[in-house]
Amino acid sequence: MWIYEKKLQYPVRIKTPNARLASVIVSQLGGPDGELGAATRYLNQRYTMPDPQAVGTLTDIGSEELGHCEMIGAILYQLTKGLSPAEIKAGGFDQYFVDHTLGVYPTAAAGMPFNAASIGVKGDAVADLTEDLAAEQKARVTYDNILRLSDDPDVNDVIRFLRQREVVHFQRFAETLRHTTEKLNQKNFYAFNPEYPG
Amino acid sequence: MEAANERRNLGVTAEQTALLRRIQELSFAKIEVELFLDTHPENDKALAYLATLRGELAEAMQQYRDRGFALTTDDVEGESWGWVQTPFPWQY
Repeated sequence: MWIYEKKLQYPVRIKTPNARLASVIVSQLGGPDGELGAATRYLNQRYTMPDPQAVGTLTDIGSEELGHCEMIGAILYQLTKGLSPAEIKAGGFDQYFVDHTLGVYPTAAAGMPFNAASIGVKGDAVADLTEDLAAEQKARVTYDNILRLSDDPDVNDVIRFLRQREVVHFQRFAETLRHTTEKLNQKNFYAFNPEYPG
Repeated sequence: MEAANERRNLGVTAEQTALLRRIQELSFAKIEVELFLDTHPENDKALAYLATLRGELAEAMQQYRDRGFALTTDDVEGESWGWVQTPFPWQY
């Protein structure tokens, strides 16, 4: 169960609308390594985790990712608010606009709608936690790419915060993987420790 | 009550933004130390830091409520349902 707090985890106050920037940042909502995928991946992986430490970490990081979806949504809303059709065309946002107007829709920047095919739930603690390490790195790279494409200081301040969270989550997942691997079989150094007993 | 209505009409004040900023800072620190404790459950320094943060955050949230602002639906008081009459955080 969750409780909604009427606040963003980190404030988003963008002064200058920018359709072109919105058209790439949308990937961190609905793209292959976006926040919606992250929340969905962790909150679904946690049910079968054999170790309460892994369940707790996935629950807490997954919940934080829901807050990050809201922050990306806030960025998209503020970057596109009040844009004229001419500005939308000039910013290359027309292909998104024709289907979603200025609504916040989870899609990858190249147009692929949010798809659970880009996340994994294997039902195996070592496999899933190893995926989570890669997921955090991939999200970090996407934020690096956004910083390469954006020169808006209001946007970049928020993107740097979100990028830093990927770095911290990677650390916590690495500790969780080590702990879980040892618990499954302390003598197995090669991490072939099936969770499913059959 | 009149003061609360006035605030709703005027939107978010600098005072509310400042109080909320304090809550955001403390909440973030709390999330961060809780996450650290998930993988270091016996860490005394982190546990002590969490206890301090809890106290400071409770105080900041009480201040926010005392000024008539609502963080959760439980904080909403008054003769009308202020939850839907005050802006959501991406709007200001």
